[in-house]
Amino acid sequence: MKSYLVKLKPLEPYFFGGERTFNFGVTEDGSKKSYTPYFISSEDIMSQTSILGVLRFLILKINGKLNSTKESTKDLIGESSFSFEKKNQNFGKIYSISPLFLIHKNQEYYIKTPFNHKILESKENKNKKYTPFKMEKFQDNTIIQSSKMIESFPMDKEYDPKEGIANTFLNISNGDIFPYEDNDLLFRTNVQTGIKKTLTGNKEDQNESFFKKEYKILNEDFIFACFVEAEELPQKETVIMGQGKSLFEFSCEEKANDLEVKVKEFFFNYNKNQDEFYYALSDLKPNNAFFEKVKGFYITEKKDFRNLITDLSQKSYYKFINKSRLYTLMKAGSVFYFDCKNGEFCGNELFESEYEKVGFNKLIKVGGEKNEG
Amino acid sequence: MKYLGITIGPIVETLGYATSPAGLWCASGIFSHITREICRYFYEECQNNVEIIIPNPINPNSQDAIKQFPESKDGIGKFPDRIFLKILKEDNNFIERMNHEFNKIIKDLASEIDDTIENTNSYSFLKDYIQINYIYFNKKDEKKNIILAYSHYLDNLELIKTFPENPGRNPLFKLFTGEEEKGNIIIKKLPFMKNLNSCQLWESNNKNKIKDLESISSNGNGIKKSELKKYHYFAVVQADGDSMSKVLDKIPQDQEIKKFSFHCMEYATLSAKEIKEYGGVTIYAGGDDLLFLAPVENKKNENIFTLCEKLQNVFNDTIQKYVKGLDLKDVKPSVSFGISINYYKYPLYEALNDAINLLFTNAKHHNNDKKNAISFNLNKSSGNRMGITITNDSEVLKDFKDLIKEKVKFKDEEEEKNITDRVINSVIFSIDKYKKVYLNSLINEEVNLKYVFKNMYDGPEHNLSEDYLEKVKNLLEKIYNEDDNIIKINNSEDLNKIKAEKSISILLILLRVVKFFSEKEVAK
Repeated sequence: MKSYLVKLKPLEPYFFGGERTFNFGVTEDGSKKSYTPYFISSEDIMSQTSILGVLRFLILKINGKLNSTKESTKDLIGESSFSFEKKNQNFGKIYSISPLFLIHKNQEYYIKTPFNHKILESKENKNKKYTPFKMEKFQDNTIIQSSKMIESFPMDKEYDPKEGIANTFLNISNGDIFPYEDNDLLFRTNVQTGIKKTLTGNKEDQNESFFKKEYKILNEDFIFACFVEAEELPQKETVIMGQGKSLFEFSCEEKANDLEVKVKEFFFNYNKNQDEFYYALSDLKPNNAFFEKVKGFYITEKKDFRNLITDLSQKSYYKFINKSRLYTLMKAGSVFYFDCKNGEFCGNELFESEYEKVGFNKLIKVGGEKNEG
Repeated sequence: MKYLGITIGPIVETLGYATSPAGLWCASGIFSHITREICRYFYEECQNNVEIIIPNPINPNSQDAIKQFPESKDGIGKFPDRIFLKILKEDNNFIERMNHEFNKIIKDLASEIDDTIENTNSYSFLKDYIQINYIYFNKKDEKKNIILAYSHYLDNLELIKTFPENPGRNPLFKLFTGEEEKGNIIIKKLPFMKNLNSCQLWESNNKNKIKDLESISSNGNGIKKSELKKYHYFAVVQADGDSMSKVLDKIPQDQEIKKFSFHCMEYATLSAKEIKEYGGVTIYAGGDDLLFLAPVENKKNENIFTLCEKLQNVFNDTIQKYVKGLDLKDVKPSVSFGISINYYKYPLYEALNDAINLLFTNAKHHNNDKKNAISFNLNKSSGNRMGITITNDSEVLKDFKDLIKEKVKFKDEEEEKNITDRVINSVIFSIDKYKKVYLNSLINEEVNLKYVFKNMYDGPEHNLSEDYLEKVKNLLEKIYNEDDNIIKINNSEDLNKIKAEKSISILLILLRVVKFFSEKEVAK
């Protein structure tokens, strides 16, 4: 088993479909879609399951097993795709995938800015570096009670609803926020027009055939990255990813996973307030009854998620690939100020740790040093 | 003194599920309904134990004792997403009973939705989807306005989002897009949507049919029968009061806040009327916030810009008049607009996002945060996107509005043709081709722009458009002489260009928009 740093560089504009794509409107009880979108947008970054898919493909490729049966590939890549419905999943020679992050000019690691970042320093200026919210605990009895029984909140003027939650990335070697200047862009857009062939050939339907797809283009100085533990991976390959069937350059080098260590080091140096919180390095899939169990203030943004499920046991080619049901995930960057008893970490009950294998549910503890020792 | 602050949501997200005007209207209506039901509970059942500060639909000058909380007859979502009330008489179970009531309101709403879409468990979705948060607090500083001092707790509570376990079974989606026989939309069956006589969603000539984007854009005539491009496009407008916090800062007393809230609701009601008369559909009018859909130009030759001017006047007659009466120095509230003009097939949620961005990113930071601005984008179906942000009372804006109405006509034998778009085309072409000449005449005081125009358009055929060209020249001069901060090009990458170049770019954008108002749609 080796540890690899995997890099994925887009070679052209890419399209990762979210929920608002051409099947928008088909609900899960099967009712017909009644709306055909004319304009759809790509997500900014790929999902963890897209990366798993690419790895499974590449392993089959380098072992010459691309057209083989499920039986002969079971050991190499596992029996089926990832699913949030299953436990003890096995992906053959792929042992783990870290959360996705960005690498700038082949050097610095960038992670999603924690949502407790104070965007504005003053009316005119944004904070250049990560600045966590100052929290207040209710000492006097200003607050008698709040919904969700919250006992500590960000202080007044820390969170500005007009600015909203930070949607940026952060350089973990120096805390710089990117994008910062008005002209900085991490993701540019590229609208492409297309024609969808109608099955009926009906002229009326053909008027509905034009559509526009908004592809994304990653800033040239950045690439997508993650750490993967696997038996063997190809050094360099061209792969196709996403709904747009866009070309990416896959490359990897053997390297020990230093993402988590570096992230923890960053927070140790920069979390000036030393308030204790948990930072989501990856997207999170909360357990059932999460909202009944969670205690304490948290900041999260949600996102829709579906993954493709390949079922190689199906005989018909058209039944190989299906979509999973719709899930709601909490975005990377979410922060939790758990009010746990005696400083115990209660995150384990809230997020299934098994999914960390594929790069979900990775929480990093920040601060709290002043409480220890 | 003890107070309660309540916040209800998620409104913007729910609006994002709508794909039609009816869906948008219903999404907004649901939250307004929830807020109103909560207010009704406090007003009618808690009566002497609590006093609602905002929202206040009851005229504080009225002597009548009103027992019932006012109904909404026009179906417009007028209740904002926040409630503040004062606790006059405390009792132990207060919070518990309130939580029970919140739960009941959601349950009742869920069962209404179940009946309407023939579903069985909307409640299991809604209980985690609808966010109702509250803060029960002691007011510490008598001199502070409760809304300003305690809103940040509600802002923070809104960050603690919850969501349903099964997002795929979203009854709201089915509700907003559901259709039955003959294209009737399901939301008409929703109990709290019924019995609305003057609802803006109904077609004016057919009270059973709901307006869709095609109908709004074409003023009810249908796209196929509309030759002109402007009838194939619709506008989404998001408007918001400026300096409202500054006003609140000066009125710490609860009674004064109630009066202010009442005048805000007055503004909302009267604005909705103007929008209806214009031919638009008000989605919500709550507090100082307005969201509506409208045709780019209506049957009476009024356009979206003149409508916004009318709404400004309504604002001046209600909220601004009240504030003037308080005699506060340095506080002059105004209203800013984000206007997104799109092809009728463009996704509504994208149009909505565009309008929101135009308002909050451009208009609200305009002119060194003085605001009082309009920020608009014309997003053509070809993909071209153009727009500017400009201060409301700028002369340039006034002249631009006049230019839209101005037409150049040509009598060809019997027929009188409108050749405005051709005239503008030739001006645009000439400016593009001879840019240096125009630039030079702007910069160089000795070269008079008047003579540049005279020389450019010296052919006999130009006599027809002499007046029009004079107006274009005046507009360019006004743009050039206007303060840099008053007019900005949206999404501009040429921040470093000299003023003359920027002025010409601005003129070209305005001309292209004016041309749009005269263009014919190419037959498809």
